[in-house]
Amino acid sequence: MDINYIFEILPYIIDGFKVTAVVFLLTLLFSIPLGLVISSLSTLNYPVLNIFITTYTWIFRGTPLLLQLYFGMYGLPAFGITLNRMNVAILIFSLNYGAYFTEIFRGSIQSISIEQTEVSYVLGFNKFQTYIYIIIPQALKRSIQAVSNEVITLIKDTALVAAIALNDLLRNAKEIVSRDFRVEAFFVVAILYILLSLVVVKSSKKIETRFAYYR
Amino acid sequence: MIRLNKVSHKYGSTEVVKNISVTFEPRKITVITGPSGEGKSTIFRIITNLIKPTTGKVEIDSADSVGMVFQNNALYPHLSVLNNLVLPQRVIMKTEKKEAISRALDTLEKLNIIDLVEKTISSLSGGESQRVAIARSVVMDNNIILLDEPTSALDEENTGKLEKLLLQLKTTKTIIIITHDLPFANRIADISYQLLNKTLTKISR
Repeated sequence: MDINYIFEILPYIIDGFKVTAVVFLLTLLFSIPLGLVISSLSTLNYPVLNIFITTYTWIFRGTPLLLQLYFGMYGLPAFGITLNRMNVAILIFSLNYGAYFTEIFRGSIQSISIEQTEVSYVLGFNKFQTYIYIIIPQALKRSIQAVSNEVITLIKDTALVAAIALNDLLRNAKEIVSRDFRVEAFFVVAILYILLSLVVVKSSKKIETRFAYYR
Repeated sequence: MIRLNKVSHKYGSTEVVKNISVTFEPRKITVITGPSGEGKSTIFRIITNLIKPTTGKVEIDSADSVGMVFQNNALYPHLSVLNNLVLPQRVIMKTEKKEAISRALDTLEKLNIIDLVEKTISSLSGGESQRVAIARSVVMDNNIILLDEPTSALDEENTGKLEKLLLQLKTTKTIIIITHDLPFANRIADISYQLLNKTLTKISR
């Protein structure tokens, strides 16, 4: 392996890494709160609202993310909405992952025993306080494993943004490989993806240990 | 003072309790016994406003507040013993943090469970978590305390500790217990009722 060659291609790969990192971080920033809010709304049990929520998670989990990206890029303009590529990527990724997080959080919230709610009401907590102080903290803890799995999937899914011509990590590597007829770039990006996953796995383990003091 | 006035409750078309009128006396331990599935818990759920009676009324003096110790104690597993007593005060009574902590410590001290203060909920035994649940009710200034099957998970030693604690509490509080543990009921009760055929009958002693 030629170290000089790797240093030569690294800046372009780093440019791609920045795009990947922005999509990844902003998607997390928007989709986790989105999932939390929507799953919370779903526990209110308003029938009409629940139809909307079910339809939302059904569509976004039931169609390919790639299709959703195409729709954001080429379909939305037909409805008079034109966004730049980066905004399309962040919007679609956030909605897509928001749908998965909604289902994860909804499951965890429903798994908290009804007695936790009842004892809170008897003590004098109102509905909102019970939710914020009692249900959500316990539900979040139960979601850690499933959420970290989704986050690792997200790292790899970011490569799909190449389909709407964003120069992410993988796309830049592929351009280098096509240009130079050398495959080192693929190894470099593989290492970067793995390092990123490692950070996620380590952090989630840390969070799990932090909350391991109760079931 | 707490009074049930011709209280009935139906789940769907099934009548669970029927025409119950009773006044629970302060500074006494009232025990309600009866076979399981007879609606004893329903009475507690009505008193604590978790369900509304189908007909009849529950009257509780405005100065009184009702606390309940659930059968499995229902402590908050994500909080320490101390915070199980502090959080409700902070959120519901808007007590200052320092004050809430000192009241919690006082209560644990008074109930002889101060040694549990740093523990996590999952590390408590059945008897310990029950005493913490009682402490949580005491720290919230509940002067009416309901206990649902309090001896069901306790061994003899812990039942003894519970009885001692209840005798200590009844000097200031109204205590109502539902149980099917007759020996326990006989030892602890000042006033006994039996729930049979959906209605309460006083048992003379």
